[in-house]
Amino acid sequence: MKIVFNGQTVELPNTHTLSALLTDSNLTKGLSIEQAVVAVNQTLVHKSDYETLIIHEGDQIEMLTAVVGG
Amino acid sequence: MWHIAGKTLDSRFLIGTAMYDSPEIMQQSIDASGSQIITVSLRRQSAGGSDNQVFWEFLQSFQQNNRYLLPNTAGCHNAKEAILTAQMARELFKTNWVKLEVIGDDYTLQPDPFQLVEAAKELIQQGFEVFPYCTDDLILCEKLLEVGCNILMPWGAPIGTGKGLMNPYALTLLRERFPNVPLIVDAGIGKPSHAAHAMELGFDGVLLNTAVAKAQDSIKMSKAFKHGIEAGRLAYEAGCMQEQQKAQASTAVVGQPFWHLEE
Repeated sequence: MKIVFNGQTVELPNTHTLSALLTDSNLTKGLSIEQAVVAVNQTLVHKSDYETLIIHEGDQIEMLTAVVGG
Repeated sequence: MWHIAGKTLDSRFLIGTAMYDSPEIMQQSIDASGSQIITVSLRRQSAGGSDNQVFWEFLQSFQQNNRYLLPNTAGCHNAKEAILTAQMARELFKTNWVKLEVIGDDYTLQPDPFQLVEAAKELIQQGFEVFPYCTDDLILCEKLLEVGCNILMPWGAPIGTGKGLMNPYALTLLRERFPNVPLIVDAGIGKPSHAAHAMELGFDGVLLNTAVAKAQDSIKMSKAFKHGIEAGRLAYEAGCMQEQQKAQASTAVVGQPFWHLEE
């Protein structure tokens, strides 16, 4: 199954929940869930839904964090 | 003291967190500014992420003693992007405040007024307190207020140009037309005198970033802006004299010595 995570195409071996996906430090670059916010297919996902949300083929996932800004 | 978005603040200086030479200089510049509102943003995690961790910890410590985060939607080019970014910011930063930016032109970073109003309307319906980054166009500002904005943040000049107030007439008109709306000049400020000018016009605050971050000494420049903003506000409250064409001697003519009359 292929998905797009922060703009990069990623191959997943099997079905994942969003929560499981976010434990992969290769994807998250070590960013903790507490310091991140996630959108799937341009829709915000609340943290309370991470455990139940199933990732599907072709999903586009954005995991963002706080950065400096003007 | 002044009031904005339900908060009572001492500082009228809103400052950005970007482009400083180091995280330490950023923090010291913010301390020197006395600002109680700082702007932040959202992006993908960079490789390594140590800077992100430092910044995150700084944000947690900043939000004490009546100090607040103002997340922006920088980089968004349409209402849909801006709305999603605002929603994500609210989830992460635990605030319903958003500095709403919807860029319409990449050369000037001029806001797209149509997309801006559309996004503001939707976000206000979703419970956000929208701080709209807008131009000084009177009709646009009226539309933003009509859809529920409580604050206006017109530009002084395009972001990062440091040109100062390009259209004082338009900014003065906004102050006259909306006497009870908090008005903040956002963007284009290059020098403390520019900030003082905005405050002399009766603006409630100034938001800037580049002028401090890119100064040779950011910490000292931050202090300079703090004083400039305070001076401008005091001048507005004191009431500046009216300009006139004809010179008028300030020293009394009565009692002038005789040698001025000899010819």
